[in-house]
Amino acid sequence: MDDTQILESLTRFTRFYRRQRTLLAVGRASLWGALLSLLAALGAKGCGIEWPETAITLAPALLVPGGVALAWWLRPIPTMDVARAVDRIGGLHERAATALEWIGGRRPQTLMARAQLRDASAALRGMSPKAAFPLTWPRRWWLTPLVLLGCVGLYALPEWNLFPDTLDRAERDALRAQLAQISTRAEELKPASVPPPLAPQLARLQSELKALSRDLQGGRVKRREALARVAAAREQARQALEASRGMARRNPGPGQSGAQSDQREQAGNESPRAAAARLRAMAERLRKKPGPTDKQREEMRRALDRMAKAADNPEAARKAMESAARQMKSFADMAAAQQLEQAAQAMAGADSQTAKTLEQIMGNLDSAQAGMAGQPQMAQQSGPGAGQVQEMGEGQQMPGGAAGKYTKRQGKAPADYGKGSTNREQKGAEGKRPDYVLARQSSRSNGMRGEYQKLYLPERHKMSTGNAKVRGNTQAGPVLATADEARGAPRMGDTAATAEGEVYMQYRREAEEAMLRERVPQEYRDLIRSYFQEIDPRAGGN
Amino acid sequence: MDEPDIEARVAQFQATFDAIRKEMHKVIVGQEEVVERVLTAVVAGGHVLLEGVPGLGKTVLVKTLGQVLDLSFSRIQFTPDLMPADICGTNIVVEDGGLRGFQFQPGPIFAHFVLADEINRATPKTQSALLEAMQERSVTVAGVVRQLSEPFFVMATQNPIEMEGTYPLPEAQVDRFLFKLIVAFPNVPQLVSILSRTTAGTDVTLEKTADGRAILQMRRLSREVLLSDAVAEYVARLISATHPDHPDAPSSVKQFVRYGSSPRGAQSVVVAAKVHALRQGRFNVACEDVRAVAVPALRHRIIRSFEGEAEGVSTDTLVGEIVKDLDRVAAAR
Repeated sequence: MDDTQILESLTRFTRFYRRQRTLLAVGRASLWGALLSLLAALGAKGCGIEWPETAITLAPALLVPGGVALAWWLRPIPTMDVARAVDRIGGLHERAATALEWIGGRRPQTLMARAQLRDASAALRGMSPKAAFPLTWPRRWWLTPLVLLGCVGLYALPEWNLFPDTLDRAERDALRAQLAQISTRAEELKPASVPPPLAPQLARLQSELKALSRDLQGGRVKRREALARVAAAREQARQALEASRGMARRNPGPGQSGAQSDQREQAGNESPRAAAARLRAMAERLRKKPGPTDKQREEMRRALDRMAKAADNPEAARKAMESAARQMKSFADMAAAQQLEQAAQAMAGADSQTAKTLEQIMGNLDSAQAGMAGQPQMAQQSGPGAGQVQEMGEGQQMPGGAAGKYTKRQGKAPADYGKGSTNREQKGAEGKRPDYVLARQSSRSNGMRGEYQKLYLPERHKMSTGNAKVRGNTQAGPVLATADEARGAPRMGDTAATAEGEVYMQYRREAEEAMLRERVPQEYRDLIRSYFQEIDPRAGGN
Repeated sequence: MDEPDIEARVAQFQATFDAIRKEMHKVIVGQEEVVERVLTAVVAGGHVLLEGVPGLGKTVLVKTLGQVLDLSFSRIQFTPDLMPADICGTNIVVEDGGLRGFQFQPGPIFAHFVLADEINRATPKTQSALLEAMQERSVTVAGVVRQLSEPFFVMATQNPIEMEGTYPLPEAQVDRFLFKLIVAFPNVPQLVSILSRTTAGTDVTLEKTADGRAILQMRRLSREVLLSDAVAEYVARLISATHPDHPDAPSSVKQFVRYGSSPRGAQSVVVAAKVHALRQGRFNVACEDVRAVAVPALRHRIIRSFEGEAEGVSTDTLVGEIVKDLDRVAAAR
């Protein structure tokens, strides 16, 4: 009887003990959770992550106490532990623990043992669980709300970014906008108008851009990683552009034999431009009176069949060619000529539109790279009285053309068509700055920096080494709608447009002509000739 | 039907204990703890080593105890020339009707209560005779083993200030005492009370509140008190912690103790704690009982190192620190 009562009492105490123990553990763990949250919030703040993305840093403050509560609640409590705790906290002088040992049946049930059980039972009945396990606040409980308050208070502070290697939110948003623009451009290319060999490359490019955009939206992307991925995308675009240009170069050049041309023609594998010309010639022949002979007609039909079967040609062009062949068979020459014109347009359009779009995409990717590399946009400084200046990335259009990112500067200086893109020229052209500058940003590697600094004055060191599009007017006044392109400082690895020897010979010839034309003292002539001899590349001059 | 008896017996135990204590305090002024511990030792069946300067009432204490309990009492004043036979007794030649023969003449050890006054003044040989009798509760004279009467209780005294010409008890022999009690000097009110009682020429009449049989019954009852595993473990930890080479020993023990308590010390603690539990009306030993008896039961079993003696660290302090350390560890679990 006493045994049962003691066990019932201990069960009651166990329930209460479990609750109190869990609450106490949660109270203790909440401080650790809050500290973890504070650390996470500091980390997020240091990385430049802002609200509401940083709300996740509050998770440890909830998860740690929650996990601890679950663990402590599920953890089994031996009855002996409860008995000892009741003895210790309730001041029962080991009555409960001793009774429990004797209830277990391991000990002889003497008269003293029975008396002890009665005593313990009475003591346990007379004690409330609340008295045995009073709910006490953890030590320094006030630290938890204080830490959490500090955690939330961090969000009110301005954004930090202690790790410039990580893109901050604004940079990611800007990059995503640029990627969206590029994707839109890529999607504008109708599949039917894209030469089939380029289609997989374009699809790969698009999927890479989409993946990068998704990563940028979803989480943190390292600057280096983003740069590498954009560079990879640019490489894809470049390869596609090269492929497109390669297709254009497949028409017979001056050095190619007629046999090679015929061979390509026989295979239907000629360049889109040459094919378009051939199609237009066929259309013209069909429109001409008298019409083509049967033999000519048969040759034309065979040629059309071959071209329609060529996989490189756009689908729209191939369909038009097939239709034209059918029309020719039924002697509907006018309709056939119309179809051939359409096929020619499709061929030419595919060639030019794809290349143009790819160039624009590459420009946009260059701009994105420059933006991530932390380069200030290259622009002509506006001096006193200079004209209005607007900066924008490559591929962005002028006002009246399309949207873009502009920085307006007020001034009235006459325009400069790109001169001043180097330091020396800029210095000499002070006060003659362009009204509008369309600057293309480009990335500059660390290896490039040294080369650049050797060539340019210190104030230009931070400027872009990429190509710059400059637009402006010849005199003070409003904006002109004309645009021109000037070469900026070269980048490492760029190939020269003209061979050095050609440039050298041209300049030397012009100098000789000028000396013949003008009255130049003999000493100066010798000096000029000596200069050209010294820089002669054939003699190893520099 | 028997079950209510145990509660009645415990109540009787408490009543008898209180009555003896009350009667003793008719003579003994103050010294509550000493009286309490002496009675505890008597009930537990142990012996007591009293340490205190002369004139504090040590002899009166034992004499009073003998009178209150209606038991025989003898006093042995230990001197350097005291021989074992002077304690245990000897065979003497007697003549009876013309016939001569040996007859055993029992020594003063053959009493229920023996006061071994200034035990450290006797030679080790004599001390050993007494201590052997204390342990075996019998003496052997001329090859004949003679049992001592129960209850048998020895209370030895030591004078801590007159050490010249003494033979300090070896550790092994000190270990045989259940308690070592320090008789403190009475405070002023107690001293005033002593003066008024002892110099007025009035005799105090003591009532015999218990006899040997009652003491033995109390002893048997105390041995029935339950000792849980947890409390036994507590005692074991306590004893282990007195050893400087034990990992659970506090730093003070490691620094100031040379040898710790023997297992006999643990037994002493438990039997004394059982009596203490009954005094509290409980049927089981609690850690509190152990704490209550730990200092008198262990203070003479801990041998301090040279550093401990030089620093003047008392064994009472060391035991107190061990108990505190144990409680701290138990609370942290």
